[in-house]
Amino acid sequence: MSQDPRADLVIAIQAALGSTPASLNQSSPGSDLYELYVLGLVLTAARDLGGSVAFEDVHRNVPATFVARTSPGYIYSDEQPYCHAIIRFNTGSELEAHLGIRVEGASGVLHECDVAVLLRAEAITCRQLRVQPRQSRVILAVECKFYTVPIPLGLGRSFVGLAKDLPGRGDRYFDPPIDVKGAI
Amino acid sequence: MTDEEAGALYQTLADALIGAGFSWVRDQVADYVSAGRLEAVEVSTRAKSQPFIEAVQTSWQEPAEKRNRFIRAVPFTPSERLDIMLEAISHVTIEFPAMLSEAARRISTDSSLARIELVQESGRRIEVSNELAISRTEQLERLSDRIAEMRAELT
Repeated sequence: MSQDPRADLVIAIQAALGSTPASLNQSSPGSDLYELYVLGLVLTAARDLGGSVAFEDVHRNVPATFVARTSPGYIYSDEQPYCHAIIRFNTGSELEAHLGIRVEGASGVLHECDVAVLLRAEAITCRQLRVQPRQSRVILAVECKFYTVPIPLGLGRSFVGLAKDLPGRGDRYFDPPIDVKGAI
Repeated sequence: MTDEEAGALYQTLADALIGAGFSWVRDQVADYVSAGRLEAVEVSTRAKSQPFIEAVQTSWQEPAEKRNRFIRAVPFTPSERLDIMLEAISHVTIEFPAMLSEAARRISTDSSLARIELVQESGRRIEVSNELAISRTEQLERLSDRIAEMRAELT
């Protein structure tokens, strides 16, 4: 270690950045990883509520590897064996949790949902008929943004539009709060 | 730390981000910093005389002075810019591996999943594993402390 704490800090930061896998240092994988993390939070919440979680791929096989989307796609896309989680509750309710699927909004346009939880019956129907899930069958839709600085105001504006077209039945959350002072 | 030192350290860190392939972090910071910090100010303005008012005035009166609130953009100081850069680096060097670990742990809990992969439609695959994050925990804790110390020095 040198006598200069600033030089030491720079060396430590360079080492930390350098030891990050090369495959993860692009912006897209950062966002994708954040979506995966949020899916993990959703599954933890489902387990905490007494639900059981299982996984299957688009072909209804039980996967050994969870294959996650990195760009928005259709729920029935079989370009890759993309996987989703099946959440079952004792009440008989069955849900599916997906990454990056498109959902039909109230206006009829398609929106990408970074994380979506929807009725399993709707998901099965959509895969069979190769159609898009309807917003009324979506229990939870999450828009994920991975930013290292306060997020820009434009994202807040987009969120307002998205929430209007995916109205749902419950609350809407915007977290972390937008940095209005820096974003106007 | 002088402004010159803060500016030089900011640039060194920006270069380190680019060198390690994290130019998107540098770009996010640069965009945010360039917008400046907004602050509310109250300034005195003199109410402009209106023709109608002038017509009914019997004698000349100085227009009344008013206090008005405006928003103005103020450039971040070099220390503030460095603080924003350090916070961004903290997110990407410390929180990123933690997120990696948590994503893997939370998804694979109680399941038979052997691995998790991010797969692009082109077929490019990125394996998500928490082993890397676990092995770096001590290193990242030290880095976190150093960044916190440097940020404290700036305030």
